[in-house]
Amino acid sequence: MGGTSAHQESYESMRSAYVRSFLLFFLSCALTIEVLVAAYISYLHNAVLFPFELDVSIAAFGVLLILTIKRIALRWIPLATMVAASAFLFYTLALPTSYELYVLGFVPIIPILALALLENPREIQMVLVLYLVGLVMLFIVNHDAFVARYPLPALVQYGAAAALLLVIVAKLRGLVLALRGALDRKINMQRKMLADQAFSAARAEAILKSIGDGIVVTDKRGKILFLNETAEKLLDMHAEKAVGKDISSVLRKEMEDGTKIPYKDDVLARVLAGDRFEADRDKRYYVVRLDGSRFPATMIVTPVILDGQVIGAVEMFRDITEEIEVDKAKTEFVSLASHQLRTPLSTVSWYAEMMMAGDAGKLTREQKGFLKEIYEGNQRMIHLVDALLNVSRIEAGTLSVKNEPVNIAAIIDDVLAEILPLMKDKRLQIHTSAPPDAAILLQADPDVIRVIVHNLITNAVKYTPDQGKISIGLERDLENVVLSVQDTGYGIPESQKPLIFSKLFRGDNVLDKVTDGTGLGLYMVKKLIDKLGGKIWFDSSEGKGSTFYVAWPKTGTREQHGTRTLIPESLATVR
Amino acid sequence: MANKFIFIAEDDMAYGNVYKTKLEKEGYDVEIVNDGNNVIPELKKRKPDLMILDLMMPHKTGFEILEEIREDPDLKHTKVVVASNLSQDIDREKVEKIGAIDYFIKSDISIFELVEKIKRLIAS
Repeated sequence: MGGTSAHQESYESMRSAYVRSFLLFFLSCALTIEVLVAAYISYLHNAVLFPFELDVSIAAFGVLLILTIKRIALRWIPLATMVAASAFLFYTLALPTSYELYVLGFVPIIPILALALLENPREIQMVLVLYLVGLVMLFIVNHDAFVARYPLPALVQYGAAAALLLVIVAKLRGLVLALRGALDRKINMQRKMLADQAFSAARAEAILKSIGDGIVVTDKRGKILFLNETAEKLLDMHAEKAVGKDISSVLRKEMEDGTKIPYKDDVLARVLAGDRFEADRDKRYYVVRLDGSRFPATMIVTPVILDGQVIGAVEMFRDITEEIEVDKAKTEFVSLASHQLRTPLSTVSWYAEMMMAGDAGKLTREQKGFLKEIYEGNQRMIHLVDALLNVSRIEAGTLSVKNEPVNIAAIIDDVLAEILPLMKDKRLQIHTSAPPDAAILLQADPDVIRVIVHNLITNAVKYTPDQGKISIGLERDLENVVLSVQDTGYGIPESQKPLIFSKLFRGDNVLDKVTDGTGLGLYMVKKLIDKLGGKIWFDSSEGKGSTFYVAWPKTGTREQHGTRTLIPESLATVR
Repeated sequence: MANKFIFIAEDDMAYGNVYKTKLEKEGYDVEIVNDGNNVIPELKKRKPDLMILDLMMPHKTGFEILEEIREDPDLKHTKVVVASNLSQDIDREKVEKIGAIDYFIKSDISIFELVEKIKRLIAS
């Protein structure tokens, strides 16, 4: 919290500087007024009303007292000063003199207060000098009476007065010069500070203006304090109109399907409430303008924190219409390209099949071997194109998902039958366990479930070395149907676990062992499970194996309408 | 006895050639038309035992051709099997509704499965 305490220190010093200058001003005024009043009273009565020696002794006493107290404890000074002043007041009240003394009695309090409250020696000096000036003025006004009371030779009197005057003038001159110097320095400093502030303000404004993202700043209650130009444009609203309004009425958000997002669930509201939460990247939000039109946006909210308290928030948002368009164009391109790729791939496949069947004459063993390689390479390509097409359909968001009873146990059996040749090749042990009431029904889309099951089981087979063991389990609890696929395979390196569901990602440890992976399988599985409203997680240790778990809610998955369905995958290499 | 006749509407000659090669080896007469506009006139010249129809063709789509066949009293009993790379359920439902007797996706079927299917459909 170094920054905060430095901030507080500068605040403290600023405050004490203000207090001091105020005191100085106040004391000077008080002194002047008191002296004038005393002079006027003296003039009226034409008599000495100023007990000079008393005054001086009290002042000296006060100074000594204050100096002592100051050393003891600074915090007691105001109290001590008050006590001293009160004591003096009572003392003067007790004297059998005229009421004018009451007024004059306060005069010595001035240097006492000055010493007590002022810390800058120059300021103390100034007050003391002003005080001396007052004394001299009193002396001049009451000269006759003074002489009558202190019958000193005229030369001594005038000499003393002149000396005092000289001292005062010299002091005043020094003071004026010092003040002027201090003033100049202060002015220069402030000028520089102002220039710096103007520069940084101009710079901040330029930065805020030039930022291509919309920026809205709010206070603690979500009232808008500031809106930059981009935000004005995006929201089609002038800053003057927005400032002071609730952000919930200006930056209204909804989901893609038009579901409004209540203010309490909004990222900004959560940040203001103190949540450590800045953005929700998984969801696509739309910002709704006042006229009802909307645009897709991403947003980041940063809290404004002062002294550990959230005092407001800055919300940056960006129109991502174009990004979505580009993404869509990319997806459509992949879809189109994949379609075009399927034609030559299937004809290559058909010719290879015909040749292998001997349609073009009997082949030698070697020719058969080469042809098998061509055929399998081609099948791999078909498999990849199918996966790409499926991924592009999932990403395009046009996938339709049915909601009908699915016998997941039957799907597992189907997939196992399909990849049996590969499992035999690798001499893998396979173990399945399911509850006794064999058919487990799930309300879902059979094609989607099949793609998920297929990918998980073929992954286990692909990434397990020869003679390994694969266990497939199916369980039900109160809410979910849980599929687990366990293998004794290569496992996932610890550092790469967070990346395992990323598109095109493949673990370092399998790149050289399994060369026909695409990095699309788990990505697709995760996307599909998210779409269905299920969950996927895994345990894995490198060199020992992995277990993937998928849980689907028993109550059924979300039905979604779309124009596309998945291509049922098959493990092309073993067909 | 004359060979069974298979009429193929397919614009992509890569497929056309492989159909022709394989089906002729299997003992069928094969004719291929690769322009949507020529399909109906050619079809009228010799009635096939089976027609294989591609969906994406120049000038006239397979959907349109199939509709014309079903509306033409002379051709409406033609056995039509649709072969496409459009793998969407919605396309399949659409052609089955118009009256195709079967539907297959070219990249998902092996040539042997295709021949088996053709034999079965002609015999039915």
